Amino acid sequence: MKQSNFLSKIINLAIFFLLIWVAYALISSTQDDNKAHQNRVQFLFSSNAVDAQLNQFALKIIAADMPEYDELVTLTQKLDSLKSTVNSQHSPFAATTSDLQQKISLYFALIDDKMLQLERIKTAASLMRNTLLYLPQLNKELQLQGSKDAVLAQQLYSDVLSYNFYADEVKLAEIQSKLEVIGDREQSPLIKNLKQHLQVQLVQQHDLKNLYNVFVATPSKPAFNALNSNYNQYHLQKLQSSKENRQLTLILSAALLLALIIIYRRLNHARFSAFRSGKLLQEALTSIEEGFALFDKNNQLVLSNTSWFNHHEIDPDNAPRTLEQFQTLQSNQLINQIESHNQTLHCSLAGKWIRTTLNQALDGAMACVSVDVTSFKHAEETLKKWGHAIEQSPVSIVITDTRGKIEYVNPKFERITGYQLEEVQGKTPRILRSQVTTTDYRALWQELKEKGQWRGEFHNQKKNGEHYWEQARISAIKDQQGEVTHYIAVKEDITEQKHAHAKLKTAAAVFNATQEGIMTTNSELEITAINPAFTRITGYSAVDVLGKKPSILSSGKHDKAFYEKMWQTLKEQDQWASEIWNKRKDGSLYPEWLSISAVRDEDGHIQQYIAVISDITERKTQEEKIQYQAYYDALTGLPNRSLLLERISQSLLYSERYKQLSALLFIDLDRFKRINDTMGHEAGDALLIEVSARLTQIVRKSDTVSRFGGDEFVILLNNIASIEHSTTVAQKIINELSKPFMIHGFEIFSGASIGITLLPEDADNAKELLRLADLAMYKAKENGRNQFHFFAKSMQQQVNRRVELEHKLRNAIKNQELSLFYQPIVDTQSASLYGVEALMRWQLSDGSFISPAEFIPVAEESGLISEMGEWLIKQACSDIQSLNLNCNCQCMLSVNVSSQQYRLGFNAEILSTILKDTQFNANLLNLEITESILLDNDQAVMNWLQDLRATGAQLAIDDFGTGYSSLSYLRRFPINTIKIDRSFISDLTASEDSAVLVKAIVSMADSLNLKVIAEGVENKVQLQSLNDLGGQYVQGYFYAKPMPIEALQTWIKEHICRFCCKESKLTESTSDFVI
Amino acid sequence: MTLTRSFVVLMSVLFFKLSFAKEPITPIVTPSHLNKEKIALGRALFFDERLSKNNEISCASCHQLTTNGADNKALSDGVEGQKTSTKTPTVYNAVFNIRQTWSGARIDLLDQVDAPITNPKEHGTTWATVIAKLSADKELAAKFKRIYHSPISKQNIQHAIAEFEQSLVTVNAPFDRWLQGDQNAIDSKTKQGYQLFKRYGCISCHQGTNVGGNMFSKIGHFGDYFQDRGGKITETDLGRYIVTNNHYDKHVFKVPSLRLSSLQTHFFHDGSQNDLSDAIRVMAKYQLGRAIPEQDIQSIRAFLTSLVGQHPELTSPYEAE
Repeated sequence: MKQSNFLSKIINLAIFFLLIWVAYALISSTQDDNKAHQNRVQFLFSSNAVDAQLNQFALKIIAADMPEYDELVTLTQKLDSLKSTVNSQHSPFAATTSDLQQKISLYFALIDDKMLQLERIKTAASLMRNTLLYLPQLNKELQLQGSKDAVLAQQLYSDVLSYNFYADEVKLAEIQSKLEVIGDREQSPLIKNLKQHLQVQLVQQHDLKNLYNVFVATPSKPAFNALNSNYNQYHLQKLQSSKENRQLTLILSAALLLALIIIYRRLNHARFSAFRSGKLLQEALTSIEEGFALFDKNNQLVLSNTSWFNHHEIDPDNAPRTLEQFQTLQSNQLINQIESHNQTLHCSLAGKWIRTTLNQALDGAMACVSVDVTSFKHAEETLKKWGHAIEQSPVSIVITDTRGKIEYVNPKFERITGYQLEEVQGKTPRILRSQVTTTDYRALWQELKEKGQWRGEFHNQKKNGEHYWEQARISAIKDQQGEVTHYIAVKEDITEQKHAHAKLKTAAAVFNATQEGIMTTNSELEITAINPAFTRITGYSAVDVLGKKPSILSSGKHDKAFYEKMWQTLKEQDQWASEIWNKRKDGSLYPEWLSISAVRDEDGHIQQYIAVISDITERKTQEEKIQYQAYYDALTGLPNRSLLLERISQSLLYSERYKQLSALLFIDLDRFKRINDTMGHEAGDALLIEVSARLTQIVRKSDTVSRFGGDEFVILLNNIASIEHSTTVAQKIINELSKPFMIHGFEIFSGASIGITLLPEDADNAKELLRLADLAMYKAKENGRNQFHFFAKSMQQQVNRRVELEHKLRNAIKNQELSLFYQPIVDTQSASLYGVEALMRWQLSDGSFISPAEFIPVAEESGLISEMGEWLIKQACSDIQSLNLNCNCQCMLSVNVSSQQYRLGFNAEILSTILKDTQFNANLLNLEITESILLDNDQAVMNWLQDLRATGAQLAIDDFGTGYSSLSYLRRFPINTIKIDRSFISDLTASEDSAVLVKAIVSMADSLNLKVIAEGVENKVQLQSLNDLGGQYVQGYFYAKPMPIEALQTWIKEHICRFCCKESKLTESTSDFVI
Repeated sequence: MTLTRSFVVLMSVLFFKLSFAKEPITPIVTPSHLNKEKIALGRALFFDERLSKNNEISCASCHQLTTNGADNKALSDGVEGQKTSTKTPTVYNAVFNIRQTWSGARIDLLDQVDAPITNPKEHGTTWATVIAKLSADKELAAKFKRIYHSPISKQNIQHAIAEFEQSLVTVNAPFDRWLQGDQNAIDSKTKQGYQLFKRYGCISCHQGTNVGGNMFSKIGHFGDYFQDRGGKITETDLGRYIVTNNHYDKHVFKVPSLRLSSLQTHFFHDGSQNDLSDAIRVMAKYQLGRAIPEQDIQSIRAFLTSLVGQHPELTSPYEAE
């Protein structure tokens, strides 16, 4: 088909080109002939024209009608050109006959000849003309000369002219004779010249005539005619032959054309039949539903039908031309499955399923057949879906034939029963029947046949013998004729339901029987159900609470946050449980354990709440007991380790927040083990109880005494004023526990070692503090029993320093390193010296002082104060005695008496001895005591003071206002003077409170007839204020610093009049001290 | 009667001539059809000594363009010290000649170029040698290739030189200007010279644009020129006979142009005369068979002088004016 098509195209082309060629050949041959002919004719004409012109010029020259010969030059050139043309390869006659060429050569030879003749004619004519022009002049000259031959010459001239026109021999002879006559007669130059010219004239005439004759005789004309006719003949011949050629060409062309047309027709016919059969095929293909496409062995698409285009969704205008293009197109489909080596399945975007088969034909062509399998595919899909549904069905499905023989069971059936399809195929469902079934199978079949369906329950048996319940629905499957072909049973395993039902029953029983109260509410929190236990616990019956909110139970004991948290937890975790106080119907509160669960539906919405309550009043009490046991030591009743830890933790928190200082005392009883071992546990226990009693007495209520375990006790001293407090307590404990214990009638000696930690300084957590205290306690044990030891290095160093200081102090006393300084007390009203206060100073060998604040406590603790105090009074009395003697004045002497001195035995007796020894006037002695003495022991101190007072010495309260300044003891004790503490004075100008206090003290002292001395006055403003408040006696840096006795004497001499004391006034120079 | 008729004829002829005629001499017109590139190439070749044996001479060696288109010698110098056989004719205005060389052996300028190249007395070389030598000159070869679209050949060398020679025409001669109507272009003596030139019959042969060159004539119509000249009659003295082999053409030579005759130093084919006045006298004697008075000779000389036109290459005596 393709080839014939190609061939027919070639033939078409061949015919076309043949036609063109024939036309071209015909036209061009004529044209060629015409043009060549034209050229030749032109050439012949040109040649003839040259000949004619030659003739014309010849005539003109003869007639002396050519003044110049340039035209001849042109003509010669023309002739040259023609000659060169005819001699060249491009001669128009080159292709003609040799005869013709010969004739042309001959003709041109003739013309050439004529040209040469003409040249000669030119020359001759010129010469002749010149002679003719000269002859008349010669004749004239002869005449002028008077030559006798002039006439003859004239005649000759005319003869020559005449001969020129009518040349004949007679005339020539006549002229010749005449010339001889002339020449003979006279030989004058003129005649000679004449004769010469005439002769030349004659010769030239002759020549010219001859030349011209030859020129004219040259047979150029006949030659041309011959040439022309020859050429014409040639031309005619040529015409004839070319005509014949053309005819021949035409005939040949026509024959060829005919042949071609015949071939073409035959081919066309073949092609038409092929086309017709192709068309039939095409129509056939078009009518079939299968898509069909044929690719030739070069993979070019040669045939396709509409279905094919439709199947592959190909735009016919844009159809793939090759198999590759088609396959590319195919591969772009949505789904491509290769089903076999030549079969593929495609799904287009439009959802069309096409199965394409590619078959190779014998000649290498590929036939592509496609089938639209969409409907099959859909049916298959549907079936698959149904099948899938059945396969996946949560109910078991059994299909039987009309006789009840099983044909199909689904996987669910297999799972439930344990029977595989193969096992049950062909059997009846009877194999499932249990012995205890209650189903009426007879009625089942009856109903099935009548109504086409049956519904009911089976009690069946699995393969493994397990029984189960099934709810079944059996329907008949009918064919199109309405005939029953199969039965299908859809069965659901309801064993679970049955069990659940049973469970529900149980649950209801439990609900009613349980001791826990149960309350359910809906999502709106309206009570939906309660159980009898609920009624028993709360007192509310169902009638009371159903439809109400649980808030009726609310005790009011829990705050809003509590309930918010409850709801929050419920929301997040769906359950909440806690102890809660609720209110009974009778209004009494009770603790209950409430557990609430939220029940949600499938969508996650809360459907209901279930609250389970149990009355825990009983439990609560027990719990409290347990808690107590948990926190307290059973033996001693003291807080145990746990509680202690909590308290320490708490204290740490407080310490941080309020910058408090607390201390932890870790106490270990000495010899406890021995007591325990020797006297038995009971004795040990008794000892522990006794120890705990003693310890509890020592500490404040706010402190915690705990039994840490065994013979270890820990005391937490909360919020202590200073570290000394802890040492004091520790010392007290050591003292107390060193005292004997009476256990079962035996006197037992124990003792304690104490380790001290400070919080928050030493550690920031309870356990660490305890560990460190324990450590410190061992340190104390190492140092010897009945010791305490600080964990902190600094504290320990302080302790160590005190020991060292005490040692130094002893030496100082021994070496008399202690000295006395005196600070004047001025009576501002009289502007006189009232007295001096004796102050102890400890100057080291290097000149530096150790502050009394440092060494006095050491002296007090060590008991050295006793010795020092006595020395001080003795020395001061001695110094001031001499001063008073020297100055003749009554200067008062104030000395401090420490409470330790009282304890260490200083008394009126000792004082009297001193006064006696020094001869100091007792009235001038002022014993300054601190308030703390007054607080310590009422009566003993009172006695002691009264005894002292009895010596004549006066009593002053030092640092008044810093302690428990109670007016009562001012009245009770024999006090003469009070010294306002320096802190009030320094605050005097800044704090109104201080001023008020000072004023109160002053006025109170006034009313009690007490003297008031203000300490620490440092400037004029303070002095002024003090004066305004009525303060009379002033001590302070404003007047003088403490100074040695020598300096005091000098000071007195300088500032006070020679006669000091009450009589003595302050000198002028010190008037500025006085306000 | 015959006399009367002849007179009538003669008179009518003369009258006719006088009444209708144009002058037998026509002005030179600048040629317009020439190719400038070819002229340039031709000129280069014209001066190229490679066109001779041993690179001795060029066309311009004898045809000196500044002088009169020829050298100032009776016979010119060829290769290897040889002398030419004839006096070198001027190359100026040669284009107007009916034939080239004294004997008219060469048809035209193109044909003529060949003559001196191969003449053993003149360039003395062969075309093959010349072409080989020139082709070695790549630049020149390229030039030919560009202009003639073909390699260097005898044909295109000839053509280029002929093209150049066609451009060698002397225009604006005073006499030409007079012919074209400028009455003051020439003086009265010149005018009289012209009249004498015509009256003595010189004009019979020396006519046309080139004042000669368009016909042949025998030297020595009156008297025997060669006998009077003396010396051996050479082959070249035979003139056109050599070309035609016709007895008529013995001693027949191409009538030379008188356009630049006033600039010439030597005259006639043998260069036997070296003075123009003498040449006129010789011509009067042998060609006209009469004597011309000295006064008329001077007038004719004046006329001849007025025939010299201008060309850029030529040092014209009028250019100074």
